[in-house]
Amino acid sequence: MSVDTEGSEVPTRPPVRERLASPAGKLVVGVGVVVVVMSALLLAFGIWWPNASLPTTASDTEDAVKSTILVFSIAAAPVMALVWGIGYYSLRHWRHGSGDEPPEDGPPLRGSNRIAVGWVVVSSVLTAFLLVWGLSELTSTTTLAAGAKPLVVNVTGQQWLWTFSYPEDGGFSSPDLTLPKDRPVVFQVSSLDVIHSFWLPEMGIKVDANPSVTTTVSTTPTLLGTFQVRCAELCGLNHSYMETTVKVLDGPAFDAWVTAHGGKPDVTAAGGTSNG
Amino acid sequence: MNTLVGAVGTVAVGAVVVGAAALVLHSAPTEPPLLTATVTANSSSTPGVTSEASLELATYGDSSQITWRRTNGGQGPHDWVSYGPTTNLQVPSHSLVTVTIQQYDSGEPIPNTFLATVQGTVGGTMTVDGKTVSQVDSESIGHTFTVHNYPSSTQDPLYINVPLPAVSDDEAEAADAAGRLTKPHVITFQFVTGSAGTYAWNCEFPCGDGTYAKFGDAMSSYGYMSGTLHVV
Repeated sequence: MSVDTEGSEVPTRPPVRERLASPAGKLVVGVGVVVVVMSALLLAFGIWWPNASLPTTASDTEDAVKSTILVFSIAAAPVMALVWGIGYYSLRHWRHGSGDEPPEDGPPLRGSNRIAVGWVVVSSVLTAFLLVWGLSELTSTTTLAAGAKPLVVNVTGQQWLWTFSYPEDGGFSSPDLTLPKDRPVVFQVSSLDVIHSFWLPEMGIKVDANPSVTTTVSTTPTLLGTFQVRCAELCGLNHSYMETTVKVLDGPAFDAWVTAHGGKPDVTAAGGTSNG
Repeated sequence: MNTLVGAVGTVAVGAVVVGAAALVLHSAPTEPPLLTATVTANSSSTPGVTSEASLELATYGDSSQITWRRTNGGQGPHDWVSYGPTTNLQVPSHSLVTVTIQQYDSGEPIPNTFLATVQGTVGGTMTVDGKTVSQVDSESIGHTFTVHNYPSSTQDPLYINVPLPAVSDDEAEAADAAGRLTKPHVITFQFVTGSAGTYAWNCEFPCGDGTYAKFGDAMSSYGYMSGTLHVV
């Protein structure tokens, strides 16, 4: 006890060390440890998982997808750990033994403006950050970087086949998709029958192919190789066979492929295919 | 005691339901009869090819023309458009396969004109009634024979698309006294197989009922306008 200016006795708080040594203090310490450990584990998982389980990164879009997963994991890890910590605290602190008679009602909750305002502000800032980040990354899949002239590819889905035509390179068509490395590509996606979904797992592209509607999506391949093209929308009997390959070639090889298919390489593509 | 009886009864009823479902599924038809290509030569002048074989198919506007569907083994509706005599095909590996298709059905414009071109065959061509062509009129297609070249690390790529030109409505109905159709387009083409593998093939011309973009009935039921190509 201490004495205030009017001579009244005011209860004093025990020292921090003494409070931490009490049963309630030990519980709070335990909650803190749970939060810190879980945050660390979730962060480690968020950093490890995208590269361990997602496909190879073959485009700038897939790179953005993995970055988004990483950033969202970092932002979400402490929140999730805090929720688990509060859950742990609640289960331990409010637990009644088998011999105890539970109270008819719990103690009334007292409002804390500091906690309420803090919670709302932190949640709002975090949510706004994720929203802006997400919209920014989403916009990047439909916005082309200045510079190289994009390659336009018309993607047509039908049960149960993809066909690809190159309207600015002679208008030829192919059942396989071939792209040049490091040149932006604009996919104009549509369907002749039912709804399909044009999915390039390694390039982070997945967009619905709707009949009578053309949907545009863009990316820039960044890795040479052969990757998958799949339909990601259940579309009928042979849906599981509606897949083919996308080959990413360097500029001269892509131009040769265009020529071999009866097309004319677009020589006006600034910084484009011919530069490899 | 009642709880125990209830629990045991529930498990027993569940087991009976699961067992009945398994029995029904097990007895359901799986593959149509297998049609094995006839080996016509055990050597070939084509590089990388060790044998030659032939396969004969047909397309009908009415699957009652197909023997196995009319007999006891023929499950499913008998009046749908269909490939025949079956859609379960087997050809030898590393082989030059000659396919002959009797095309008895009428047709319409094909939605994707790309599929009116011949692809994946020897020389990129086929013959229609003896005439060599690399594409047909996209406004009058009966069906296509299209083998899917889906990515696989365990089998060789194989993509084939052969458009089958439509016969006229009169020709599609021309039949002899026994009801057998008599005025087909005869299409022949050749392709070369690689190593052993299993491929899906189907008709890419929407020729089913009109329920859903003409992809109902025969187009959405296995064994009519779709099948399996086994390379062995």
